Amino acid sequence: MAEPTGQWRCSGASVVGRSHEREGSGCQDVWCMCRSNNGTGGVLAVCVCDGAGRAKNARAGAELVSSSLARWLATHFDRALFEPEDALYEAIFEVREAMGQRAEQSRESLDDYACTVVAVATRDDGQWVAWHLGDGGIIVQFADAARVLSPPKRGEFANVTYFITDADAYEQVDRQSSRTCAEAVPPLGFALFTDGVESRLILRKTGAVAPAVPRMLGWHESADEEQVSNAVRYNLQDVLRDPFGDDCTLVLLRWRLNSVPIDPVGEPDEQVV
Amino acid sequence: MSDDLMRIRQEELVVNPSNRVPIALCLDASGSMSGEPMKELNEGIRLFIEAVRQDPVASSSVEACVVSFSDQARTEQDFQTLANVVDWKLAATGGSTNLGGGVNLALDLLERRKEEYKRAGVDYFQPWLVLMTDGQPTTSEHISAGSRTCNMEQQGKLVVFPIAIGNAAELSTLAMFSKKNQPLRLKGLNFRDFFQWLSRSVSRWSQSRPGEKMPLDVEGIKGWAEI
Repeated sequence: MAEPTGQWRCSGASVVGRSHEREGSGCQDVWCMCRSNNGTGGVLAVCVCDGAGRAKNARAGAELVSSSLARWLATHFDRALFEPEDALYEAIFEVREAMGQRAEQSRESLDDYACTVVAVATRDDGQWVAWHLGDGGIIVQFADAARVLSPPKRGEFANVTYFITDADAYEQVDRQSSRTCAEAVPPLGFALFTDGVESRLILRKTGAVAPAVPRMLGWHESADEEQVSNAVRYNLQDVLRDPFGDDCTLVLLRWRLNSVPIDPVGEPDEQVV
Repeated sequence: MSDDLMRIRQEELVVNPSNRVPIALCLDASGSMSGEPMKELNEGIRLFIEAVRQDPVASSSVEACVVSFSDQARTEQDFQTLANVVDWKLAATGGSTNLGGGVNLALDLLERRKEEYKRAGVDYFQPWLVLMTDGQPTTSEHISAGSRTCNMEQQGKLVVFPIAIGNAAELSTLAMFSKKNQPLRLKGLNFRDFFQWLSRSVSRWSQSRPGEKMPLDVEGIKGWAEI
Protein backbone atom coordinates (compact mmCIF):
# COMPACT_ATOMS: atom_id res chain seq x y z
CA MET A 1 0.00 0.00 0.00
CA ALA A 2 1.15 3.56 -0.70
CA GLU A 3 2.42 5.96 1.96
CA PRO A 4 -0.33 8.34 3.11
CA THR A 5 -0.42 11.53 1.10
CA GLY A 6 -3.77 12.77 2.24
CA GLN A 7 -6.67 11.83 4.47
CA TRP A 8 -10.09 10.22 4.40
CA ARG A 9 -12.94 12.72 4.40
CA CYS A 10 -16.45 11.88 5.50
CA SER A 11 -19.78 13.62 4.91
CA GLY A 12 -23.35 12.50 5.04
CA ALA A 13 -26.90 13.10 6.13
CA SER A 14 -30.07 11.33 7.21
CA VAL A 15 -33.52 12.63 6.32
CA VAL A 16 -36.88 11.31 7.42
CA GLY A 17 -38.78 9.29 4.81
CA ARG A 18 -42.04 10.72 3.56
CA SER A 19 -43.96 7.76 5.01
CA HIS A 20 -42.55 8.44 8.51
CA GLU A 21 -43.08 12.16 7.96
CA ARG A 22 -46.78 11.56 7.36
CA GLU A 23 -47.03 9.27 10.41
CA GLY A 24 -45.04 11.74 12.54
CA SER A 25 -42.80 8.90 13.69
CA GLY A 26 -39.47 10.61 13.01
CA CYS A 27 -36.30 9.37 11.34
CA GLN A 28 -35.13 5.91 12.39
CA ASP A 29 -31.87 6.05 10.44
CA VAL A 30 -28.73 7.06 12.33
CA TRP A 31 -25.09 7.22 11.28
CA CYS A 32 -21.97 7.69 13.31
CA MET A 33 -18.40 8.56 12.38
CA CYS A 34 -15.39 7.91 14.57
CA ARG A 35 -11.76 8.91 13.92
CA SER A 36 -8.74 7.48 15.71
CA ASN A 37 -5.01 7.10 15.36
CA ASN A 38 -3.57 3.99 16.95
CA GLY A 39 -0.02 4.44 15.71
CA THR A 40 -0.41 2.64 12.39
CA GLY A 41 -2.15 5.57 10.71
CA GLY A 42 -5.35 7.52 10.98
CA VAL A 43 -8.52 5.44 10.93
CA LEU A 44 -11.96 6.68 9.93
CA ALA A 45 -14.86 4.38 10.84
CA VAL A 46 -18.46 4.94 9.85
CA CYS A 47 -21.54 2.94 10.76
CA VAL A 48 -25.02 3.51 9.31
CA CYS A 49 -28.03 1.86 10.98
CA ASP A 50 -31.69 1.68 10.00
CA GLY A 51 -34.00 0.93 12.93
CA ALA A 52 -36.45 -1.91 12.19
CA GLY A 53 -40.01 -0.85 11.47
CA ARG A 54 -41.31 -3.36 14.01
CA ALA A 55 -38.94 -2.26 16.78
CA LYS A 56 -40.41 -0.14 19.60
CA ASN A 57 -37.14 1.72 20.10
CA ALA A 58 -35.89 1.65 16.52
CA ARG A 59 -34.05 4.96 16.70
CA ALA A 60 -32.50 4.26 20.10
CA GLY A 61 -31.28 0.90 18.77
CA ALA A 62 -29.81 2.53 15.66
CA GLU A 63 -28.04 5.17 17.79
CA LEU A 64 -26.57 2.61 20.16
CA VAL A 65 -25.39 0.23 17.45
CA SER A 66 -23.99 2.88 15.08
CA SER A 67 -21.94 4.61 17.78
CA SER A 68 -20.74 1.34 19.38
CA LEU A 69 -19.69 -0.26 16.11
CA ALA A 70 -18.03 2.86 14.67
CA ARG A 71 -16.04 3.24 17.89
CA TRP A 72 -15.19 -0.48 17.94
CA LEU A 73 -13.88 -0.41 14.37
CA ALA A 74 -11.91 2.79 14.93
CA THR A 75 -10.31 1.32 18.04
CA HIS A 76 -9.70 -2.24 16.80
CA PHE A 77 -9.04 -1.69 13.11
CA ASP A 78 -6.03 -4.04 12.96
CA ARG A 79 -8.00 -6.89 14.51
CA ALA A 80 -10.87 -6.36 12.09
CA LEU A 81 -8.39 -6.44 9.21
CA PHE A 82 -6.19 -9.36 10.25
CA GLU A 83 -8.51 -11.47 12.42
CA PRO A 84 -11.81 -10.77 10.70
CA GLU A 85 -13.87 -13.65 12.10
CA ASP A 86 -12.83 -13.21 15.74
CA ALA A 87 -13.12 -9.44 15.47
CA LEU A 88 -16.61 -9.55 13.99
CA TYR A 89 -17.78 -12.05 16.59
CA GLU A 90 -16.36 -9.94 19.41
CA ALA A 91 -17.82 -6.68 18.04
CA ILE A 92 -21.30 -8.16 17.63
CA PHE A 93 -21.10 -9.76 21.06
CA GLU A 94 -20.14 -6.46 22.70
CA VAL A 95 -22.79 -4.46 20.88
CA ARG A 96 -25.51 -6.98 21.70
CA GLU A 97 -24.41 -6.99 25.34
CA ALA A 98 -24.83 -3.22 25.47
CA MET A 99 -28.22 -3.54 23.77
CA GLY A 100 -29.24 -6.27 26.18
CA GLN A 101 -28.35 -4.11 29.19
CA ARG A 102 -30.34 -1.21 27.80
CA ALA A 103 -33.30 -3.49 27.10
CA GLU A 104 -33.13 -5.01 30.57
CA GLN A 105 -33.08 -1.60 32.26
CA SER A 106 -36.23 -0.65 30.37
CA ARG A 107 -37.81 -4.10 30.76
CA GLU A 108 -37.91 -4.56 27.04
CA SER A 109 -36.58 -7.18 24.66
CA LEU A 110 -33.47 -7.07 22.49
CA ASP A 111 -35.74 -7.09 19.44
CA ASP A 112 -37.19 -3.73 20.51
CA TYR A 113 -33.84 -2.26 19.44
CA ALA A 114 -33.44 -4.14 16.13
CA CYS A 115 -31.59 -2.39 13.32
CA THR A 116 -29.49 -3.07 10.23
CA VAL A 117 -25.74 -2.39 9.96
CA VAL A 118 -23.69 -0.84 7.15
CA ALA A 119 -20.14 -0.13 8.29
CA VAL A 120 -16.82 0.79 6.67
CA ALA A 121 -13.49 1.59 8.31
CA THR A 122 -10.60 2.98 6.28
CA ARG A 123 -7.00 3.70 7.21
CA ASP A 124 -4.73 6.30 5.70
CA ASP A 125 -2.53 3.59 4.13
CA GLY A 126 -5.47 2.48 1.94
CA GLN A 127 -6.46 -0.59 3.99
CA TRP A 128 -10.17 -0.97 4.71
CA VAL A 129 -12.80 -3.21 6.29
CA ALA A 130 -16.53 -3.41 5.44
CA TRP A 131 -19.31 -5.12 7.43
CA HIS A 132 -22.88 -5.21 6.21
CA LEU A 133 -26.02 -6.81 7.64
CA GLY A 134 -29.54 -6.31 6.26
CA ASP A 135 -30.72 -3.91 3.63
CA GLY A 136 -28.98 -0.76 2.50
CA GLY A 137 -25.57 -1.25 0.91
CA ILE A 138 -22.05 -0.13 0.09
CA ILE A 139 -20.61 1.17 -3.18
CA VAL A 140 -16.84 1.35 -3.62
CA GLN A 141 -15.13 3.80 -5.95
CA PHE A 142 -11.82 2.99 -7.63
CA ALA A 143 -9.91 5.25 -10.00
CA ASP A 144 -11.51 3.72 -13.06
CA ALA A 145 -15.03 2.80 -11.88
CA ALA A 146 -17.50 2.50 -9.07
CA ARG A 147 -19.08 -0.85 -8.25
CA VAL A 148 -21.42 -2.33 -5.69
CA LEU A 149 -19.30 -3.74 -2.89
CA SER A 150 -22.18 -5.08 -0.82
CA PRO A 151 -25.74 -5.16 -2.16
CA PRO A 152 -28.85 -5.14 0.06
CA LYS A 153 -29.11 -8.33 2.10
CA ARG A 154 -32.70 -9.45 2.05
CA GLY A 155 -34.60 -12.65 2.17
CA GLU A 156 -36.60 -13.63 -0.88
CA PHE A 157 -39.19 -10.95 -0.17
CA ALA A 158 -38.94 -7.17 -0.21
CA ASN A 159 -40.09 -6.76 3.39
CA VAL A 160 -37.81 -9.40 4.89
CA THR A 161 -34.30 -8.49 5.98
CA TYR A 162 -31.72 -9.20 8.69
CA PHE A 163 -31.06 -7.34 11.92
CA ILE A 164 -28.25 -7.33 14.46
CA THR A 165 -30.66 -8.75 17.02
CA ASP A 166 -31.30 -11.89 14.93
CA ALA A 167 -29.90 -15.12 16.37
CA ASP A 168 -27.90 -15.72 13.17
CA ALA A 169 -26.69 -12.11 12.77
CA TYR A 170 -23.02 -13.12 12.84
CA GLU A 171 -23.48 -15.65 10.00
CA GLN A 172 -25.44 -13.16 7.90
CA VAL A 173 -22.89 -10.33 7.98
CA ASP A 174 -21.16 -9.71 4.66
CA ARG A 175 -17.52 -9.10 5.66
CA GLN A 176 -14.99 -7.79 3.19
CA SER A 177 -11.67 -5.99 3.39
CA SER A 178 -8.73 -4.76 1.36
CA ARG A 179 -7.15 -8.17 2.04
CA THR A 180 -10.01 -10.07 0.33
CA CYS A 181 -10.79 -7.52 -2.38
CA ALA A 182 -10.12 -8.39 -6.04
CA GLU A 183 -8.69 -4.94 -6.77
CA ALA A 184 -5.10 -4.53 -5.54
CA VAL A 185 -5.17 -0.73 -5.59
CA PRO A 186 -6.58 1.32 -2.72
CA PRO A 187 -10.10 2.65 -3.29
CA LEU A 188 -10.81 6.35 -3.70
CA GLY A 189 -14.10 6.30 -1.88
CA PHE A 190 -17.10 4.53 -0.41
CA ALA A 191 -20.80 5.37 -0.35
CA LEU A 192 -22.86 3.83 2.48
CA PHE A 193 -26.63 4.06 2.36
CA THR A 194 -29.91 2.75 3.75
CA ASP A 195 -32.79 1.24 1.79
CA GLY A 196 -34.57 4.60 1.44
CA VAL A 197 -32.15 5.61 -1.33
CA GLU A 198 -30.95 2.22 -2.56
CA SER A 199 -33.38 2.09 -5.47
CA ARG A 200 -32.00 5.40 -6.84
CA LEU A 201 -28.33 4.41 -6.57
CA ILE A 202 -28.19 0.78 -7.81
CA LEU A 203 -29.92 -0.71 -10.83
CA ARG A 204 -31.15 -4.00 -9.39
CA LYS A 205 -31.19 -5.93 -12.65
CA THR A 206 -27.53 -5.30 -13.55
CA GLY A 207 -25.97 -3.95 -10.36
CA ALA A 208 -24.93 -0.78 -12.22
CA VAL A 209 -24.14 2.23 -10.05
CA ALA A 210 -25.89 5.56 -10.68
CA PRO A 211 -23.59 8.19 -12.23
CA ALA A 212 -24.53 10.47 -9.32
CA VAL A 213 -22.43 8.39 -6.88
CA PRO A 214 -18.94 9.10 -8.27
CA ARG A 215 -19.93 12.72 -8.82
CA MET A 216 -21.05 13.15 -5.21
CA LEU A 217 -17.90 11.43 -3.92
CA GLY A 218 -15.89 13.86 -6.05
CA TRP A 219 -17.35 16.83 -4.15
CA HIS A 220 -14.80 16.13 -1.42
CA GLU A 221 -12.06 17.17 -3.87
CA SER A 222 -13.02 20.82 -3.64
CA ALA A 223 -15.44 21.25 -0.74
CA ASP A 224 -15.09 20.72 2.99
CA GLU A 225 -16.98 18.06 4.95
CA GLU A 226 -19.68 20.42 6.16
CA GLN A 227 -20.40 21.73 2.67
CA VAL A 228 -20.65 18.20 1.30
CA SER A 229 -22.91 17.12 4.18
CA ASN A 230 -25.21 20.05 3.47
CA ALA A 231 -25.30 19.13 -0.20
CA VAL A 232 -26.06 15.49 0.63
CA ARG A 233 -28.91 16.59 2.90
CA TYR A 234 -30.37 18.87 0.27
CA ASN A 235 -30.18 16.18 -2.42
CA LEU A 236 -31.70 13.52 -0.15
CA GLN A 237 -34.59 15.81 0.70
CA ASP A 238 -35.34 17.20 -2.71
CA VAL A 239 -34.03 14.74 -5.28
CA LEU A 240 -33.40 11.23 -3.99
CA ARG A 241 -36.22 10.81 -1.48
CA ASP A 242 -39.07 8.68 -2.77
CA PRO A 243 -42.60 10.15 -2.41
CA PHE A 244 -43.75 7.10 -0.43
CA GLY A 245 -40.46 5.67 0.80
CA ASP A 246 -38.47 5.01 3.93
CA ASP A 247 -35.93 7.19 5.76
CA CYS A 248 -32.83 8.00 3.72
CA THR A 249 -29.19 8.05 4.75
CA LEU A 250 -26.20 8.55 2.50
CA VAL A 251 -22.61 8.79 3.79
CA LEU A 252 -19.69 9.54 1.49
CA LEU A 253 -16.08 8.62 2.35
CA ARG A 254 -13.46 9.97 0.00
CA TRP A 255 -9.68 9.93 -0.02
CA ARG A 256 -8.48 13.50 -0.43
CA LEU A 257 -4.93 14.07 -1.54
CA ASN A 258 -2.67 16.47 0.34
CA SER A 259 -5.44 17.58 2.64
CA VAL A 260 -4.74 19.27 5.94
CA PRO A 261 -5.03 16.43 8.46
CA ILE A 262 -7.87 16.38 10.96
CA ASP A 263 -6.21 15.69 14.32
CA PRO A 264 -7.30 12.27 15.51
CA VAL A 265 -4.73 11.83 18.29
CA GLY A 266 -5.95 10.46 21.63
CA GLU A 267 -9.35 8.93 22.29
CA PRO A 268 -11.55 8.15 19.28
CA ASP A 269 -13.34 11.29 18.22
CA GLU A 270 -16.95 10.33 17.75
CA GLN A 271 -19.77 12.09 16.02
CA VAL A 272 -23.33 10.73 15.92
CA VAL A 273 -25.68 12.12 13.30
CA MET B 1 -17.64 24.76 -5.01
CA SER B 2 -20.96 26.52 -5.57
CA ASP B 3 -24.19 24.97 -4.33
CA ASP B 4 -25.46 24.71 -7.91
CA LEU B 5 -22.62 22.36 -8.78
CA MET B 6 -23.59 20.11 -5.88
CA ARG B 7 -27.10 19.37 -7.10
CA ILE B 8 -27.95 15.97 -8.49
CA ARG B 9 -30.15 15.70 -11.56
CA GLN B 10 -32.73 12.95 -11.95
CA GLU B 11 -30.85 11.73 -15.05
CA GLU B 12 -27.86 10.89 -12.84
CA LEU B 13 -29.93 8.43 -10.80
CA VAL B 14 -31.30 5.02 -11.71
CA VAL B 15 -34.95 3.98 -11.82
CA ASN B 16 -35.98 0.52 -10.64
CA PRO B 17 -39.43 -1.01 -11.04
CA SER B 18 -41.65 -0.70 -7.97
CA ASN B 19 -41.84 -3.67 -5.58
CA ARG B 20 -44.68 -6.02 -6.53
CA VAL B 21 -47.35 -7.81 -4.52
CA PRO B 22 -48.59 -10.77 -6.57
CA ILE B 23 -52.08 -11.91 -5.68
CA ALA B 24 -53.88 -14.89 -7.19
CA LEU B 25 -57.67 -14.96 -7.06
CA CYS B 26 -58.72 -18.59 -7.28
CA LEU B 27 -62.49 -18.55 -7.75
CA ASP B 28 -65.24 -21.13 -8.01
CA ALA B 29 -67.03 -20.96 -11.38
CA SER B 30 -69.06 -24.15 -11.02
CA GLY B 31 -72.75 -24.30 -11.94
CA SER B 32 -73.91 -23.36 -8.45
CA MET B 33 -72.20 -19.96 -8.78
CA SER B 34 -74.38 -18.93 -11.76
CA GLY B 35 -76.84 -16.07 -11.40
CA GLU B 36 -76.71 -13.74 -8.40
CA PRO B 37 -73.51 -15.16 -6.77
CA MET B 38 -71.45 -14.64 -9.95
CA LYS B 39 -72.95 -11.19 -10.50
CA GLU B 40 -71.97 -10.15 -6.96
CA LEU B 41 -68.54 -11.74 -7.29
CA ASN B 42 -67.84 -9.76 -10.46
CA GLU B 43 -69.00 -6.57 -8.78
CA GLY B 44 -66.66 -7.31 -5.85
CA ILE B 45 -63.72 -7.80 -8.22
CA ARG B 46 -64.59 -4.54 -9.99
CA LEU B 47 -64.59 -2.66 -6.68
CA PHE B 48 -61.29 -4.31 -5.71
CA ILE B 49 -59.62 -3.13 -8.91
CA GLU B 50 -61.05 0.36 -8.51
CA ALA B 51 -59.95 0.68 -4.86
CA VAL B 52 -56.40 -0.51 -5.54
CA ARG B 53 -56.13 1.87 -8.48
CA GLN B 54 -56.94 4.80 -6.20
CA ASP B 55 -53.94 4.04 -3.99
CA PRO B 56 -50.83 5.56 -5.59
CA VAL B 57 -48.45 2.91 -4.24
CA ALA B 58 -50.70 -0.14 -4.56
CA SER B 59 -51.77 0.72 -8.11
CA SER B 60 -48.24 0.18 -9.36
CA SER B 61 -47.39 -2.62 -6.93
CA VAL B 62 -50.36 -4.97 -6.78
CA GLU B 63 -50.50 -7.51 -9.58
CA ALA B 64 -53.39 -9.94 -9.76
CA CYS B 65 -54.31 -13.00 -11.76
CA VAL B 66 -57.66 -14.80 -11.87
CA VAL B 67 -58.00 -18.58 -11.99
CA SER B 68 -61.43 -20.17 -12.20
CA PHE B 69 -62.30 -23.76 -11.48
CA SER B 70 -65.30 -25.92 -12.36
CA ASP B 71 -64.77 -29.15 -14.34
CA GLN B 72 -61.39 -27.78 -15.29
CA ALA B 73 -59.07 -25.14 -13.86
CA ARG B 74 -58.61 -22.21 -16.19
CA THR B 75 -56.47 -19.04 -16.32
CA GLU B 76 -59.02 -16.27 -16.81
CA GLN B 77 -56.50 -13.44 -16.45
CA ASP B 78 -52.74 -13.68 -16.24
CA PHE B 79 -50.79 -11.36 -13.92
CA GLN B 80 -51.23 -7.66 -14.54
CA THR B 81 -50.77 -4.54 -12.42
CA LEU B 82 -54.29 -3.39 -11.69
CA ALA B 83 -53.58 0.04 -13.15
CA ASN B 84 -53.67 -1.66 -16.58
CA VAL B 85 -56.82 -3.76 -16.19
CA VAL B 86 -59.67 -2.87 -18.54
CA ASP B 87 -62.45 -5.15 -17.35
CA TRP B 88 -62.49 -8.56 -15.72
CA LYS B 89 -65.69 -10.56 -15.93
CA LEU B 90 -65.99 -14.14 -14.77
CA ALA B 91 -68.77 -16.49 -15.90
CA ALA B 92 -70.03 -19.67 -14.24
CA THR B 93 -69.26 -22.46 -16.66
CA GLY B 94 -71.27 -25.15 -14.95
CA GLY B 95 -70.23 -28.60 -13.93
CA SER B 96 -68.21 -29.80 -10.97
CA THR B 97 -65.75 -28.24 -8.50
CA ASN B 98 -62.11 -29.03 -9.27
CA LEU B 99 -60.87 -27.01 -6.32
CA GLY B 100 -57.44 -28.67 -6.15
CA GLY B 101 -56.84 -28.13 -9.87
CA GLY B 102 -57.62 -24.43 -9.44
CA VAL B 103 -55.26 -24.04 -6.49
CA ASN B 104 -52.44 -25.90 -8.25
CA LEU B 105 -52.84 -23.76 -11.36
CA ALA B 106 -52.84 -20.55 -9.26
CA LEU B 107 -49.66 -21.67 -7.45
CA ASP B 108 -48.00 -22.50 -10.78
CA LEU B 109 -48.81 -19.01 -12.06
CA LEU B 110 -47.41 -17.46 -8.87
CA GLU B 111 -44.18 -19.44 -9.17
CA ARG B 112 -43.78 -18.48 -12.82
CA ARG B 113 -44.39 -14.82 -11.98
CA LYS B 114 -41.77 -14.87 -9.24
CA GLU B 115 -39.23 -16.24 -11.73
CA GLU B 116 -40.12 -13.39 -14.10
CA TYR B 117 -39.57 -10.87 -11.29
CA LYS B 118 -36.17 -12.37 -10.51
CA ARG B 119 -35.07 -12.23 -14.15
CA ALA B 120 -36.20 -8.61 -14.44
CA GLY B 121 -34.63 -7.48 -11.13
CA VAL B 122 -38.00 -6.70 -9.56
CA ASP B 123 -38.33 -7.04 -5.79
CA TYR B 124 -41.55 -8.58 -4.52
CA PHE B 125 -43.52 -9.34 -1.38
CA GLN B 126 -44.98 -12.66 -0.22
CA PRO B 127 -47.65 -13.71 -2.73
CA TRP B 128 -51.27 -13.90 -1.65
CA LEU B 129 -53.74 -16.60 -2.61
CA VAL B 130 -57.45 -15.89 -2.24
CA LEU B 131 -59.50 -19.06 -2.52
CA MET B 132 -63.30 -18.82 -2.77
CA THR B 133 -65.70 -21.71 -3.23
CA ASP B 134 -69.38 -22.47 -2.65
CA GLY B 135 -69.15 -26.24 -2.74
CA GLN B 136 -67.20 -29.35 -1.95
CA PRO B 137 -64.33 -30.54 -4.15
CA THR B 138 -65.29 -33.17 -6.68
CA THR B 139 -61.77 -34.51 -7.21
CA SER B 140 -59.09 -35.56 -4.71
CA GLU B 141 -56.53 -33.09 -6.06
CA HIS B 142 -57.32 -30.68 -3.24
CA ILE B 143 -55.41 -32.94 -0.82
CA SER B 144 -52.06 -32.47 -2.58
CA ALA B 145 -52.87 -28.83 -3.35
CA GLY B 146 -53.61 -28.26 0.35
CA SER B 147 -50.30 -29.68 1.49
CA ARG B 148 -48.57 -27.54 -1.14
CA THR B 149 -50.14 -24.29 0.15
CA CYS B 150 -49.49 -25.25 3.79
CA ASN B 151 -45.83 -26.00 3.07
CA MET B 152 -45.38 -22.66 1.33
CA GLU B 153 -47.24 -20.89 4.13
CA GLN B 154 -45.06 -22.54 6.76
CA GLN B 155 -41.92 -21.36 4.96
CA GLY B 156 -43.31 -17.81 4.86
CA LYS B 157 -43.67 -17.96 1.07
CA LEU B 158 -47.43 -17.57 0.77
CA VAL B 159 -50.36 -15.88 2.50
CA VAL B 160 -53.61 -17.82 2.05
CA PHE B 161 -57.20 -16.62 2.52
CA PRO B 162 -59.69 -19.49 2.24
CA ILE B 163 -63.26 -18.19 1.97
CA ALA B 164 -66.49 -20.21 1.91
CA ILE B 165 -69.51 -18.91 0.02
CA GLY B 166 -72.85 -20.17 1.36
CA ASN B 167 -73.52 -23.18 3.53
CA ALA B 168 -72.60 -25.95 1.09
CA ALA B 169 -68.87 -25.20 1.37
CA GLU B 170 -67.36 -26.95 4.38
CA LEU B 171 -64.89 -24.97 6.45
CA SER B 172 -63.07 -28.18 7.37
CA THR B 173 -62.18 -28.73 3.71
CA LEU B 174 -60.97 -25.17 3.28
CA ALA B 175 -58.92 -25.50 6.48
CA MET B 176 -56.70 -27.92 4.54
CA PHE B 177 -55.27 -24.93 2.63
CA SER B 178 -54.00 -22.84 5.53
CA LYS B 179 -52.71 -23.47 9.03
CA LYS B 180 -52.35 -19.76 9.79
CA ASN B 181 -55.54 -18.15 8.48
CA GLN B 182 -58.64 -20.05 9.49
CA PRO B 183 -61.25 -20.29 6.72
CA LEU B 184 -64.07 -17.80 6.97
CA ARG B 185 -67.60 -17.88 5.63
CA LEU B 186 -68.82 -14.88 3.67
CA LYS B 187 -71.89 -13.15 5.11
CA GLY B 188 -74.48 -13.93 2.45
CA LEU B 189 -73.15 -12.68 -0.89
CA ASN B 190 -71.16 -9.83 0.61
CA PHE B 191 -68.35 -9.96 -1.92
CA ARG B 192 -68.21 -6.18 -2.02
CA ASP B 193 -67.11 -5.75 1.59
CA PHE B 194 -64.69 -8.64 1.28
CA PHE B 195 -62.96 -7.15 -1.75
CA GLN B 196 -62.90 -3.67 -0.18
CA TRP B 197 -61.21 -5.22 2.86
CA LEU B 198 -58.81 -7.10 0.57
CA SER B 199 -57.84 -3.92 -1.29
CA ARG B 200 -57.17 -2.07 2.00
CA SER B 201 -55.10 -4.97 3.32
CA VAL B 202 -53.03 -5.40 0.18
CA SER B 203 -52.46 -1.61 -0.06
CA ARG B 204 -51.02 -1.58 3.46
CA TRP B 205 -48.95 -4.65 2.67
CA SER B 206 -47.51 -3.02 -0.48
CA GLN B 207 -46.19 -0.15 1.68
CA SER B 208 -44.69 -2.27 4.43
CA ARG B 209 -41.01 -1.79 5.12
CA PRO B 210 -38.40 -4.43 5.98
CA GLY B 211 -38.89 -5.81 9.45
CA GLU B 212 -42.28 -4.19 9.87
CA LYS B 213 -45.11 -6.24 11.34
CA MET B 214 -48.28 -6.04 9.30
CA PRO B 215 -51.18 -7.53 11.27
CA LEU B 216 -54.45 -8.22 9.47
CA ASP B 217 -57.34 -5.82 9.94
CA VAL B 218 -59.39 -8.14 12.13
CA GLU B 219 -62.10 -5.54 12.79
CA GLY B 220 -62.56 -5.18 9.03
CA ILE B 221 -63.09 -8.94 8.68
CA LYS B 222 -66.20 -8.68 10.86
CA GLY B 223 -67.77 -6.59 8.12
CA TRP B 224 -67.88 -9.42 5.61
CA ALA B 225 -67.36 -12.71 7.45
CA GLU B 226 -69.61 -14.74 9.72
CA ILE B 227 -67.64 -14.80 12.98
